[in-house]
Amino acid sequence: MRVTLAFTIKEFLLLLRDPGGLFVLFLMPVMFMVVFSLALGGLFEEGAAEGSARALEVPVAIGGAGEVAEQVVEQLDATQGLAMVREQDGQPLTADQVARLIADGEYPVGVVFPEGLTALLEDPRILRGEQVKPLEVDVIVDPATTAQVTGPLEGALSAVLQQVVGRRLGEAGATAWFEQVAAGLPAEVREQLAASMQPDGEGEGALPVTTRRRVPPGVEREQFPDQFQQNAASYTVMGVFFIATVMIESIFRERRSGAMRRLRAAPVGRAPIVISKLAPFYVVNLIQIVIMFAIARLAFGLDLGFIPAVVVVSAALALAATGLGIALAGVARSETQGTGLAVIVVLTTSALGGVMVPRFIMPEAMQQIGNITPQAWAIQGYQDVLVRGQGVGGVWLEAGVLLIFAAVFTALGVWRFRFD
Amino acid sequence: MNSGDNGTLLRAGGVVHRYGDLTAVDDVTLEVRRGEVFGLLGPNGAGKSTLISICSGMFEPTAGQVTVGDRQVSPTTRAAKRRIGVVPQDIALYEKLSGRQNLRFFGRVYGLGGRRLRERVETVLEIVGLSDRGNDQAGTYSGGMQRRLNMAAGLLHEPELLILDEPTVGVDPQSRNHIFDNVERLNRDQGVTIVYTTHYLEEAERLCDRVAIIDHGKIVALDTPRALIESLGGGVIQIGIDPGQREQVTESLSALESVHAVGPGPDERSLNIQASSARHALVDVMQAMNAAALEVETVRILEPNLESVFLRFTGRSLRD
Repeated sequence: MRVTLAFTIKEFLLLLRDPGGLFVLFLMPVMFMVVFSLALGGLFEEGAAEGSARALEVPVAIGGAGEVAEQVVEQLDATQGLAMVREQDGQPLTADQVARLIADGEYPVGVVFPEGLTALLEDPRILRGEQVKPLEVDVIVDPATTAQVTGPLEGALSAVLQQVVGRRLGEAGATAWFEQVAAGLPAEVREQLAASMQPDGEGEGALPVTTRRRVPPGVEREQFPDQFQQNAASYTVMGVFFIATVMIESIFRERRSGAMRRLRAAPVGRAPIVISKLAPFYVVNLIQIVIMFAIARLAFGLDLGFIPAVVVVSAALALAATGLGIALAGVARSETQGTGLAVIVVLTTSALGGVMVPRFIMPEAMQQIGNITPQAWAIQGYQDVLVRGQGVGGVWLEAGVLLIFAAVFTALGVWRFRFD
Repeated sequence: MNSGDNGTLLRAGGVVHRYGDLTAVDDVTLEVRRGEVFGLLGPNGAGKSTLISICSGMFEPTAGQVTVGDRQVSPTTRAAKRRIGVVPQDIALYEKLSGRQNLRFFGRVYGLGGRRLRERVETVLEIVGLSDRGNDQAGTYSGGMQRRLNMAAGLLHEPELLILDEPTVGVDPQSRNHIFDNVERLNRDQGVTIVYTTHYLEEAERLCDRVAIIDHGKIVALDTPRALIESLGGGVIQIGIDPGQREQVTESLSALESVHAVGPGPDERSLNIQASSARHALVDVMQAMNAAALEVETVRILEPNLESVFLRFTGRSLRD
């Protein structure tokens, strides 16, 4: 403990006298967060921007909605930029399955059609123009997704519903009127009249079907992340991992000066020295996180949600980041190689993990690769709290995975650690 | 200097260390007596630093073992390491920390804390003469002051055995004298046993009770400086010869009464001639060479000192 304290005090004193290190750790991620949030603000606003180049996959539950729902899904599927997913493991998706897929973050948005949709449109009361209670097509959204993603789907769904349901009502209404007025006419005349009648394609007035946006059951909030919710989490995560560059510089500086050899001669074991090297940077990481979220909260009004859950994710994240630093220091053969490697690894895994762009708009293969980055789990953990309103119970999986990353990285670092 | 034999403190037995195909330490066995200043003399690359790194517990030897008292020294044996203070050849300090901050850090690593740590920091700063500069960053110190602070860090935990690896490399004369004084005082007043590696012969002659000469990883001589010098008799004459006449020259000169021994020099074109009085023997040597019509290309007289001792045992100069 005394050794760990000694290292912690020493590293803080050294860091305070290292402006470059302070910049990398504290100013750079703040700059990223602020600049990207301001520059890309419009991207996260309702109704902004068109969809991504890649087709948005949308799970859909048709259930007992019948033929009308099938037609709507068919037309949505034919819409550029949308790909409707109707089955899972060869079976049609149910409403619960769609909700689960969204809640788990597998897809950003899904559609659930109401039971009896087609039957409702054949209800004689509607054909007579009487008011009936409308049915709702649910658009299930992940609160962590953006309007950029869900906007095009919702727009297309409304338009296609209007078209399909309107046409269906127009046809049914015209048929009923014709039957009524032409009942006494000769068969030949009726046929001529029927041939001359063209449905106008869309019904008039209010449709008996509406869309409703909602979040999956169990997810408390219904809101899109704004640019600060998105970026505070992302750039905090990326900034935290830049501790690796500072750790590598510190370790190689100690090797170069011979201080590591002197420590090797001290009555302290290898593992305590390595762990003591981690401890001060772990504290630095926690301070970084506090500063990042404090700026996001105070300057931009970010709602931090349930603080203990943020603390749990942060604690695990900082362990993974410092573990990565010690692992890279062990693998690198020189300081230049080490810092270069750290920058490459941190930027690449940050990109794959969804720091620069949300992972759900990446191709499937890239999303899968992203799962093996700690950044992806950390961002998901933060968004569970900041956007989805989860508590500690909602982030245990992400925190657990981050701890596994930390354990693997640290074990590699201890194994490969060299004193000279 | 304390030359009393109070038993062995450091013992190295059959120590071998290899780096791949290179044998840096080759079957070294030596004992350092409690209370003495033991010099390890050898040129750069002779294996001194590797040997003392093993003696400090920095790494395991390929073969053999080292003990301090009754404790084996290895990277994992803490009890033995607590008895050893190490002053590495490198300035193993944090330049951006002050002298006091450096010492507090290393003191904590060695298990000191609180008042005891504060007292020891002030004491060792006093010993090395840096009390008034203790709050300045170590990076602002001169090379000599950094060496002194480096030494102070090895003294914090009051070790029984202090290992100094070339502590005066690159220092100014004032700091060098300060380090000499510190070594003498620690040994005389506090009874600290000291292992002192150097390739400066005058340091070994001034400070060490006994000296081991190490070359190519082997101990080639070990005794008091006086005994080693006396073993040379009256000095060494080094002559340059035609390599083709080597056997003939050796035979002619070995027969001279004033010559004790004729041995190889630092290269194939030279011979070392050991005599009871080098200056007197030189006349006999030149006469014998002339009489036998043997050519003498160069002549050099090496007075009896550790330099000539080193030359005798290794066949080359310490600074070659």
